[in-house]
Amino acid sequence: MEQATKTKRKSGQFSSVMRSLRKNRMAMVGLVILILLILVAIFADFIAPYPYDQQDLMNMRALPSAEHIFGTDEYGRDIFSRVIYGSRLSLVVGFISVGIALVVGGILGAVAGFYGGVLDDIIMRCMDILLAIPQVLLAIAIIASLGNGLINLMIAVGISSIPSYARIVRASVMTIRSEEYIEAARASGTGDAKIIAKHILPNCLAPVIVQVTLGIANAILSCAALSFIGLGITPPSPEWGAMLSGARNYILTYPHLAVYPGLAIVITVLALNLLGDGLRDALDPKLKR
Amino acid sequence: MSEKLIEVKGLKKYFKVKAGLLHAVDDVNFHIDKGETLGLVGESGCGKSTTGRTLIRLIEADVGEILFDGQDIRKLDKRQLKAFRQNMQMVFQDPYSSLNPRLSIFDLIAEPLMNISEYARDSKRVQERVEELMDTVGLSRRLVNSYPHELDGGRRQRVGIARALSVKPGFLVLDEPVSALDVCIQAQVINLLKRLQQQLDLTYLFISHDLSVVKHISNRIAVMYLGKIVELSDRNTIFQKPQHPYTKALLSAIPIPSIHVNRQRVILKGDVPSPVNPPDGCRFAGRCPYVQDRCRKECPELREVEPGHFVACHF
Repeated sequence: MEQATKTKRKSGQFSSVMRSLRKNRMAMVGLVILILLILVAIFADFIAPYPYDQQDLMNMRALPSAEHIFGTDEYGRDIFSRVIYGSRLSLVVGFISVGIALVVGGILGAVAGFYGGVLDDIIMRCMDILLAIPQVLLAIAIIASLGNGLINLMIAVGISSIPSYARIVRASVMTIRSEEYIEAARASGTGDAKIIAKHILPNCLAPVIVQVTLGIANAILSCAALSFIGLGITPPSPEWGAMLSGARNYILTYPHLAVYPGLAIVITVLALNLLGDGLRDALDPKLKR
Repeated sequence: MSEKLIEVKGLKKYFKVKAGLLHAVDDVNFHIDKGETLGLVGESGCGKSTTGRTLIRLIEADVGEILFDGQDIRKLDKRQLKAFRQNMQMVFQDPYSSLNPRLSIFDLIAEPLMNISEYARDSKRVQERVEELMDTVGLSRRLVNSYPHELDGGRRQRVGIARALSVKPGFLVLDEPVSALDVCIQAQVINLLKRLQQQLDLTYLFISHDLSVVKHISNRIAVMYLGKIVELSDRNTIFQKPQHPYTKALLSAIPIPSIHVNRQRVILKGDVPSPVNPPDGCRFAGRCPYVQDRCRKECPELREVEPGHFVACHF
């Protein structure tokens, strides 16, 4: 009898998302690469054959060899070690600055899109003001007022990318706000905060995930641009973006200086994109098998 | 006379649009007795859904009183309204867009319960209540972890009904609950609604544009045209002795599945005028076959032509 069947509730959202994520091969590849990168960052001291700032002046700009598997840079520093150590700074900078932008931009966008009217106008005009200032210039101004340093660099990059998150979230909130199930939730007495958290935000995840995966790459490069003009990360510290911009003088004569940090960025972004796509599908019950 | 559960007096809702004021609901008066079904019919855009939504304060009315058991619900503040939502719920038209695609059937049905503190703290009671509701509306319990896209339209609408019933309301606004379903599912859902009404002593406001469906479920019927009620009476009177020319035209449009019936179709000329800044006088004057000078100047009030039968026409 149907009546006798026990209605068992699911064992939680997380495990069901993981289950469908596991079936997506590309997403798993992305996840594995990302985990490897994080492990590399954590255990950089054990993996890297040389300290990141040790100079081998006899072997400047050496081509890859058994001694230096990625070759050496213009000061004779081992590129492999620098790439390994660079993963620490680059990952931290990428994730944290995007995290800042996502949280602040997401909340502002959700509020603006949900309530509309004057509040929407005020928030979005502020975002327009932020957008009107070139990103690098804005970051320079923020660092100038907060002072130099890694944390302020992340804050600066985060703040300067708030508008793009606010706009994406606002746009998708506005389409979902007019759905009938929002009205149904309101009719059952659900409060605004809960409606936003439970009904609206989960339904506008897809474009946000795409923006996040691309945004992390962007953040890494913005940090590099700022480091290049001497803000944020200071020279001996290895950072992929900074290494890339330092290598641009030698791109024609010694391309390997730019190739390896560039590859590291590409792999990170690719892994994030694969994982992001898989995550988006796994979070959508319509695509669940 | 039975007890009035809902009484609406002078309800008005105007929307500001670029061209002026859109008179969506314009001075509507009616009441619904406890345990009865009032059918509200009219063509698209005549303000039926707006009326239903203002009744449960999903849209705030501009003017008027909405008395629920003698209490004016327009005067409730935010917190009181939240508690009051337990008394009145709504079933929506489109079972595809009225259910959040990311929530399981369990979460959907349980949502209104989660806003009541005695349930929110007791997950076992919620579980029991959801199971009970699924049995009540005829959903098999194995669907509890399914998602809306896995169900057909009829089952989805049953989820919508279960959600509305979860807090044990006395009054339901049914906003075209069956018009998005195909005919045989329509019958199932209508019969379910009728059975639930008897079992749970519910009062319905049934909004529809489908006269045959309304005839099947309603005790009394109100006909709306451009934001006004033009005729209100019990079901049989409306169908047998319609007084208002609009009602006559509407009724003559019901298809009859027989070739032997000789019928007189009342064909209306022209279109529904825009509800933005409507002219003085009778709203129907521009299309009425019996129009007189007086109709264009004076707006007819709803008056009782015989006990319980109200018509808004000068003649």
